Amino acid sequence: MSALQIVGLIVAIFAPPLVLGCLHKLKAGLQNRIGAPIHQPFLDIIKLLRKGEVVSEHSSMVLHGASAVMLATCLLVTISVPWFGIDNPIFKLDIFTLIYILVLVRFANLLISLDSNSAFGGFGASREALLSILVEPAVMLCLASLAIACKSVDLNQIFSFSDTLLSNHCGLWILAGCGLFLSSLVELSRMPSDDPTTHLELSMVHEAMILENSGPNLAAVNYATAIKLSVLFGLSGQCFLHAFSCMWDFPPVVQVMAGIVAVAAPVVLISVIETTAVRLRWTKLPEFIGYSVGFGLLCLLQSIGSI
Amino acid sequence: MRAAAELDAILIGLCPIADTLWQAATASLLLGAVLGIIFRSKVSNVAMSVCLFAFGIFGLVSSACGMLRGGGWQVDPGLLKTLFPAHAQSDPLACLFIALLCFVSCANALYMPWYLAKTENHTNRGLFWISLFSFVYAMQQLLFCTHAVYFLIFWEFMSLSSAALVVTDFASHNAKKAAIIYFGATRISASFLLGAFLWLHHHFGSWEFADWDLSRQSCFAPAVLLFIGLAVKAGVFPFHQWLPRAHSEAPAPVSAFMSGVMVKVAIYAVIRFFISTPETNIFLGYIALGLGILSAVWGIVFAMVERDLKRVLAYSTIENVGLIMVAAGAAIIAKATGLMNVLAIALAATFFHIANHAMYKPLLFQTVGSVQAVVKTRDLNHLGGLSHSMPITTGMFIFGACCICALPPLNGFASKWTIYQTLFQLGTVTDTNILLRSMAFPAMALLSMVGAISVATFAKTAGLGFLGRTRSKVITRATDPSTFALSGQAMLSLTCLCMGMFPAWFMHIISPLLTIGQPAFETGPSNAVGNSLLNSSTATGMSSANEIAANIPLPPTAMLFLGLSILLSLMYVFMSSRKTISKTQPWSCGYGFLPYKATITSDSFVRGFANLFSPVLYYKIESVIKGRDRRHFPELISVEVECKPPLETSVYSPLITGFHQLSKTLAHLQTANIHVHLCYVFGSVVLLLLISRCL
Repeated sequence: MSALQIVGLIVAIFAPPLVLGCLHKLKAGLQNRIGAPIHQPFLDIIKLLRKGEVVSEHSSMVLHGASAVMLATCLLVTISVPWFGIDNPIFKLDIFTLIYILVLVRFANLLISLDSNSAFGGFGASREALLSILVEPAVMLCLASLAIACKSVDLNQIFSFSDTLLSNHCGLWILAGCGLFLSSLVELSRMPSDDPTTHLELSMVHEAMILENSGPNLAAVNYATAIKLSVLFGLSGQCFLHAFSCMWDFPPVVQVMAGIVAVAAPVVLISVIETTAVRLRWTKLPEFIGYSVGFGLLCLLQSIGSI
Repeated sequence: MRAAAELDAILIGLCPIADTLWQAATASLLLGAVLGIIFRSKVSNVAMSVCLFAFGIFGLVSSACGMLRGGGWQVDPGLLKTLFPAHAQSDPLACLFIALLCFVSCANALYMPWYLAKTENHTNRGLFWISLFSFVYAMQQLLFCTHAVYFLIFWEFMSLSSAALVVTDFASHNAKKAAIIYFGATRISASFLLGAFLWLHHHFGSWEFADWDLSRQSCFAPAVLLFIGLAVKAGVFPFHQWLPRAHSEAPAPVSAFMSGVMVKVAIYAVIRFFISTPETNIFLGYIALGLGILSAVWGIVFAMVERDLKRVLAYSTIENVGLIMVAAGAAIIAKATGLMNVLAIALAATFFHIANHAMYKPLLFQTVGSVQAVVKTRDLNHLGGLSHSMPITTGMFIFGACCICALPPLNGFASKWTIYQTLFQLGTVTDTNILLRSMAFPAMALLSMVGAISVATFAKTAGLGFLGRTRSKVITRATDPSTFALSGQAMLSLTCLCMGMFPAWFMHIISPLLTIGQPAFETGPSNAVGNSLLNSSTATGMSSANEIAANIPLPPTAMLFLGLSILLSLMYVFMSSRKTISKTQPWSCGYGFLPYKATITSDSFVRGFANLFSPVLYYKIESVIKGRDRRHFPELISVEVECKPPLETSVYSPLITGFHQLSKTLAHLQTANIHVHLCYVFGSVVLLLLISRCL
């Protein structure tokens, strides 16, 4: 394990809340507010860990078990996916495992929301389930077509810059990046599909699901969500970075710096979107997801044609 | 791997008595049946379960030995041999399925005394047990069969006894209806098989399977007939109607048998006829792959909107059979195009998913059976809150749901990963054509959607059926089944866990099977007896199995995952020991206490989904709100949900009505008076004369 990889591991575990903090800060700036400092998510998590818990009277052991599982799986994802350019040597994750580990996170989240038996939680779960069904093929298509072009399902190999098979597929990278970005907007309940800052609105998705979580429980879920956000946005950023690297040759040092930029780019993009756009109507959402599936299909066509 | 080697050593030690063990297994089945005949309804459930368990445990050991030494044992001992002359052989392929049958028998035998004691009201106990034993006997005979006539006889035997089992509760109207539909399906299946067998016998002049070569161009039509006959029994897409009905009405252990083993027998026959033969026809591979994907999507879409616990499981059986067919279809295609590496992975995926489904589906059926036995309802809208009164059952169901949703450290994921890997390999191997590529990759996307829907389905089922609020008083009084009954479920879930965490073990077991489709391997008696472990085809099987097992990313994932979860739970326990946890009502916008009717139900959960998939589902929700001031003070709110499967409403029911009409018209011809009959005679005489003139 080299020094770079150890640094990578530490970054992978501790950066996600900072990414979220940057996002909040950026959004505040765009909305002419000062905003909380970027380490605020950490402070929130520490505050929550020190609090007691209030749980629904209907909930069972599942509530606590599932939030621990959520956090554990998300930690697993962040230390094994090369989302900011440094791959971790702990073990290899392939695209199918990544997708199904994210499915495990969702399953745990759905159980949490149904366990408390609040009406909000149930409807949030219903919406989340529906959106995930639509988004899943898009994520699979984007990642699989990269794997097809690379002839390997190993994520580290796909996202390493050394792979010669992928280095002349500029278009494929851009399409995959777009597809992944759009689908992660939905998967993470960001703006066009859900407004993460509103509370108690009848059509919220993610917030409704964790409405009954409190204290350490909520801290675990929030940390897990921050990790999921960084990983998915990081991956789509990496796709764009690879598209650029097809055109210009980077020296390795620049690549590491560029990895950070690649995470920052989607964050900037999402803060602009969340400042300027409004949430789509629920009935329009399948159409919106259609675009990400469309990008996925274009990816697939490109990669099938290119083998 | 060391543990696997030790297990091998023990089994090799047992090999000399494998024959005896198998005879003991058969004997305990027959003993059970005879006891059932003698004592009729006074027979003890425990004694019969012991017979079934003995069959399971003896059969399991002897089939493991059979797999290991590459061949089997004398199938029918003594008297039976004279009754059924040599028609059967056992080879590793059959042994794998026998092992599954025996394993499910063991688990069911542990569970059945409790279940039957809880549910027996109107049942004729002797008849139930006799049907069950003949069902199991027919299944094990089918697995060994090499002769078309005997195959058909045992096929009918299996169909009849399982139909009798479906109608165990014969006071129930639904059970009778289900049994009739199921019986109709078995008729269709048998007639297709009969047609295919007669055709093939005409073509090859032999009833032995070994003499048939289905890959010939001239045999395409009978091969398709055979495939359809088997597909009806397996519950593949256009022929799946019987499955949700029969599975939901049968007693839970019987559903476990039917879903865990019986549909696999049909898939076994598909493998036997189309993959383990020297040659194969590529079109059947395309058909199997296409139908597999259709049934996976179709099954899971209907499972999602279903609100009957057992029907959810039945529809998910259709989905899983679809997944198995995808892998089997990929195997046929790989074999026909000569991609031997892909063939090995595809076969591994097929067997792995078959075995996994035979583990977690009985587990789920048993937990749901416990719920039904205690609470007397399967309707998700009336269940809920079982986690407080039946915590172990709830835990088992959630565990089974995790397996069936293919969540990572468990076995469902291991086999689904292998299926994805099969499709990926099928598409990326350099010398494949563009058609194959453009089939394999969209198939992957569709399977991922199926995966997402199954997660939604089982999260809904677990969340609304088992977690949350207690919706009726019966549920608050419910208790977990006895420890003995739970041990069957524990056995199944432990195996699920092991197969997920250590897929290398399973791959090691099935390694002799991974070469069955390769040209060097010959099926037939020459290979069936006395082959050593070290012959060449087994060695290639071993190496490909090891390669696949080494690639399955589970063991490291599982270890890391477990480590992390344990660490987190310890941290949590440490932290919560100093915290107060207070319980309160869930948030309800300040309305205070909400009645349970105000929380989400199964129908409202799936409403968005059903709207989106309305072209497939024909899903209608009609709500009526009445009252003087209906907006603010409604006096009556009623909601009705209607879901019609389009295939049944627009294809099957016109077909059946048309058939009825036709038979009515024909009946007029028959039931006329004597004059008309004389007229017929006259007409036929004239016709015959004319014909003889012309000739």
